[in-house]
Amino acid sequence: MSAAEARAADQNRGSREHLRLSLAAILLEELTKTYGERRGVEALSLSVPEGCLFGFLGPNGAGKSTTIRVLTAMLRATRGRASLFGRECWRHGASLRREIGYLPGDVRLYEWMNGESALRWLSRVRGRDLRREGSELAARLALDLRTRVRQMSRGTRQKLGIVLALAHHPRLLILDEPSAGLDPLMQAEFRAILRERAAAGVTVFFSSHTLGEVEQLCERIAIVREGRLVADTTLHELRRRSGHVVEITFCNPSDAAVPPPPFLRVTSCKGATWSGVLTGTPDDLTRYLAGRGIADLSIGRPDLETLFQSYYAGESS
Amino acid sequence: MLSKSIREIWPVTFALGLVALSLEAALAYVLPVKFQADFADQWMKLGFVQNIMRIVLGADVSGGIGPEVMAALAWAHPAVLALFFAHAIIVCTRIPAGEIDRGTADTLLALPVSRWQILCSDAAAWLAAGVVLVALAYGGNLLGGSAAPPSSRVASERTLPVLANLYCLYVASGGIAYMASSFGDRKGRAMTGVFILVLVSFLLNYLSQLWQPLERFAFLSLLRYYQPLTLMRSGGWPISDMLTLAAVGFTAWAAAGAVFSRRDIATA
Repeated sequence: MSAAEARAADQNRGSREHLRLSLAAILLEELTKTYGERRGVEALSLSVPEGCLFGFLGPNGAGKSTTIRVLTAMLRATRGRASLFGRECWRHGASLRREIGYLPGDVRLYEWMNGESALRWLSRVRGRDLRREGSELAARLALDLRTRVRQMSRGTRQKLGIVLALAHHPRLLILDEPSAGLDPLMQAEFRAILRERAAAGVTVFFSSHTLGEVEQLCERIAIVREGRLVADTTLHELRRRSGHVVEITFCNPSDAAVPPPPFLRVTSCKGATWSGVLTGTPDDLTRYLAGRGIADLSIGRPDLETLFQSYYAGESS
Repeated sequence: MLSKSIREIWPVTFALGLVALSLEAALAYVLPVKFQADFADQWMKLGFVQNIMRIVLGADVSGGIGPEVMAALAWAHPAVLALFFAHAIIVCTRIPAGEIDRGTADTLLALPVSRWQILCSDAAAWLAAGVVLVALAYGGNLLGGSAAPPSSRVASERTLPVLANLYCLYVASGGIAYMASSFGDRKGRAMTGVFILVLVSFLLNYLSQLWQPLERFAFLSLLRYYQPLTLMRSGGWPISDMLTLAAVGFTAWAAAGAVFSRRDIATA
């Protein structure tokens, strides 16, 4: 390849990269936010393409809300850059918020409002009548818009927060632990709404501290822990790597005394009970257990801590 | 945004406005009818009463107690001033400290408006509320004055400069309250801070008239620029005092905007 061709190829790669970044709904580049001595997030890099249902997972205090607050321009990045649709969040905060629907972790609204007056107010601020969309969403969430905020339970406030975040049909939804306070039926309805929006091309950035919640909705997942990005992967890959949490109680304690099979990482052995992570398939396990007396068996999805351990184990191997 | 600010401000404006109306009505009636003669005949012969009157009104009253002294007293009464300060402190510490404190900052700052727009809308509602408050107080003053004998009334053109001066004092205290609020996350703390500043200002103005060494610091007191009796007597407009107070208010408000537009907002 000649030097000119190499240069052209470089330029081509550069413009493809630029296009990829400009198409990203959310782009974090080495984002760091500190509160004095206290850490918020550190060197977080992430790209969320448009139309993606993206789960942002981490335990409490991991830096999820800090990241979201930087994205909504409530916090200013200490270092690095955060941008939405190619525009820097802090500088273009007001104009970007036209295209964003944001639901805080704990929705607090003005006590003198009710759902109807909140929608009227929002319509005036956003410059278009949102009452019809708002009423439709409220109906789906079984929310009475005439109830005053001061009389609302946390779950009802959350529903109104969802209505206000979604009514203007934003391009990007930033939701900070949105299911908190919703009952299982409403959670399912809310997930259905989000899926519809994503199918229509809306990007959904969804933070949670429970894996199960994110699993039911998201295509891609990032895991943050102690302010740092631990994983940025697809749900399929996450499932493959996280395995299942298993607890087996043998009828005969001597069965538990032998070394476990290679597809089962035993983290604790107490008497006749093994607790651990299944890295193979459930089929491997049932084959292994066939012929052994089993007093009790449970298999399920790991919690976040187990998932992190699986990830770290994977990284070190 | 303006409608939201008005909705939040009107209950306190209405409540304090009614108190101001009642208080002014009472003072405008009671002071000339019940106290003017007593002041002139007996109390003003006592040196310490003369001193107190001079301190409260900011001008010498040894020349005699006329209707303008009683009228000025109705506008310089500590209870009246406390009402105006209280309104400014309550209203102007709502953004951002009050919003952060009650957790609504997330909702407010998720809207597609800049922080300056939020502050400007709020300030517009606050300035309008101040006009309403002054108008209600003046209404009360006219009401009380109408029940008093005509000889004890003061022409309204002598009262208007006092009202304008009082409004500027209100603007200055409100601007300072905005500034205190812009640094904090707790409305209570911001209110306490401004209350202490106002109290110090109050004391500085009074004590500087009693103790000579404090005189050179008296210019720091907001009340130094509010002299109702001098205005009642002269009938002139206190342009420089009003400009000073307005400049203090605007500068403090602008500083609040600069801080608010740059600071991190994190609700608990």
